[in-house]
This record gives sequence, C-alpha cells and structure tokens, in this order.
Amino acid sequence: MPSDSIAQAIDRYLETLRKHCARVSLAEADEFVGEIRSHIMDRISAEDNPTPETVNAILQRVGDPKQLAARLVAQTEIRRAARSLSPWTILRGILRFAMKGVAGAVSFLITAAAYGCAAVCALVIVLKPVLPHRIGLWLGRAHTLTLGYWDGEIVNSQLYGISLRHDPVNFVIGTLGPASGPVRDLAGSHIYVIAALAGAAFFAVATLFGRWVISKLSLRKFRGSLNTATPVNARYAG
Amino acid sequence: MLYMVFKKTRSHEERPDQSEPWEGQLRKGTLEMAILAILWKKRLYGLEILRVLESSSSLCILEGTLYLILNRLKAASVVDSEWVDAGSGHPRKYYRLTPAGEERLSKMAEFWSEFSAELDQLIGPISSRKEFTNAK
Repeated sequence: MPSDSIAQAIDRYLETLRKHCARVSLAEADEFVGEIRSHIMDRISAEDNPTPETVNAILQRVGDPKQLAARLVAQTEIRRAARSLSPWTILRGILRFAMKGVAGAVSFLITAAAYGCAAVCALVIVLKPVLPHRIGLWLGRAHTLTLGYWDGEIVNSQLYGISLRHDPVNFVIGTLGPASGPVRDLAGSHIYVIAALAGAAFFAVATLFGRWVISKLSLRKFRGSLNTATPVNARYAG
Repeated sequence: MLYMVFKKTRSHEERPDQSEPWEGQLRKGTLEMAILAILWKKRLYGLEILRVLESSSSLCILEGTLYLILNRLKAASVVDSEWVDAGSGHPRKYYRLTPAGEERLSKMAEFWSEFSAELDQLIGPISSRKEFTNAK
C-alpha cells in the first residue's frame, strides 16, 4: 500500500475528529487531536509493513471520531458549567442530565426556579423607580406575601412576582390568581435592599446548587459512559 | 415490552464471550484507579499506559477513550502532562501524577485494600468449595 494513502486515511480520520470538536476551545481541540495523531503514529510505527487493513483496524480501535469528539465536547461543556458563574452555562450543563434522568430533570427545575426568583428580584430593582406605586413587598389577602408587581385593583387584584402563602402552603413564581381585599406595601423604600439581598441569595443558591449537581452527575455519567470496557479476549473475539 | 426484555436476555445468551453487566460496572469503577496506579512514580505516554492496562489487568477500553479519561484527570489536577519530542519522529504527551493525584491514589488504594479484604472474607467459603470440587 502506498504510504500516501495511509496518510490520507489518517488525515481523513483526524479531520473528522477536528471538525466535530468545533465547540471546544481551539487549544483544547488541538491538544486532543494532536494526542490522537501521536497515538495513531505510534501504533503504525509498531507495524512492520502497514497495510490498509492494519491502518483501518488501528483507527477502529481508536474509536469513531464523531463519538470521541462528542464525548470530548460534552466533557468540556460540563466541566465549564461546573465552574461557571453564568446561569445560561449552568442551566445548559444541567439540561444535558435533565434529558437523561429524573435526578437531572428535578435538579434542572430547582435551579431554574432559583434563577427565576433572582430574575424577579432584579426586575423589582429595575422597575421600582419606573412604577413606584406598583412595585413592592405586598401583604395581601390570606397573609399572602408577594415581592413584585401589584395591578392597583382592590377587587380581583393580581399580584405578580414571588409569592408566599401559608394556608395552603404555596410558593409561586408568577401569580396566585385574582384575589379581593386590601393590599399593603411592607417595604417602602427599603425594597431595594430587600430585593438586592434576596436576589443575591437566590443567585448564589442557584449557582452553588447547579454546580454541585453538575459535578455529582457528571462523575456518574462519566463512569457510565465507559461502556467499551471489555476484557481483552472479548474485544478481539469478534 | 416483554418481547424487548426477552430479546435482550436472548442476545446476551447468544454472546457468551461478552462480560456480564456487573463485571462491566466493576471494571468501569476501578478503571480510574488502575490508570492512576500505572502512573505511580512513573511518567508514561498514552500508548504505554494502554499496554500496561492490557497486559496487567483485564481492563480494556476503546483506545480513544483513554485520552478522554486522561483529559478529565488532568482537568481535575490529578495528573499533569507535557509534550516531549523523544526522537520517535513525532512528539508524545507524557503524563505523571501530581501530588494531589498521589494523595488521591493512596486513599483509593487504602479503601480498595480494605474493601477487597472484606469481600474476600465473604466469598472465601465459595472459593474454597470450588477449589475442593476441582480437586475432586
């Protein structure tokens, strides 16, 4: 077999690998592809007279380049998410697990809810100067406490934001529905401090919980993904 | 559904050379420790690690997977790596344990020794019975 056709087969393999590593940083992709290239060269140089069959066998033993790249991308994204402060990156990281199991789905919902609360707090701070009589910490009917927006009505009034009610126990992001009765602002101008502290707390909880979940689930997923671990005799049996 | 379960069972029976699922799980769980153990007081590149893995244990992985594992171990600061041009015509990436990796491996080895000793006690009667049967 001419050596240039061996080189072509290797280049094709490495090109596919690199192409599918696009979502990894350039340096990391270079490092990984370089290492796989080095491994293939080592395997080929161990052969006395490499043929198309031996080269194909070597490439097969290294693994499908698309799958290898996909696993590198997943590994990198999860690692990035586990260290990130960005809600988007963390949620995207947990979403990978949410598609594959109940633990992931529940964790995703908890994290998304905590980020939702943080977003409501941020909106309260932004909107208070614009709507000073509508944004606040509202005590409504049946001791419902709401941080957010009140529509100004007494009958069938709507409160939007984060609501807490003790009977029945309810914690809602959004609205509990229309209710009648007096509504009182408890915070006044202190709303900025309250919203800032609550927002920071929700953000911190969401970030720490999200990162913790990613670290825990990624280890489980990683060990589960080593599905090619088989005895040596079994691997060559087929 | 029942058919699928049946089919799965059948397909497993038809491939007697394949390891049992619990064996696979056990191997997966010990793979990381095995790789770290291979790197104990040594600096090796990927193919060398793979050869030791194949020759000294029944742990075997798709070759590309090894680099994903090493990549993950490096990100966890358990191993360190450097490219070395050792005159083989192409550079090789050598791995070695970091102090944190040595500490982690020591803890893993300690746990494994206790764990396997306990299991040995449990399965002792079964093993000795088997030896007795073989002797007969």
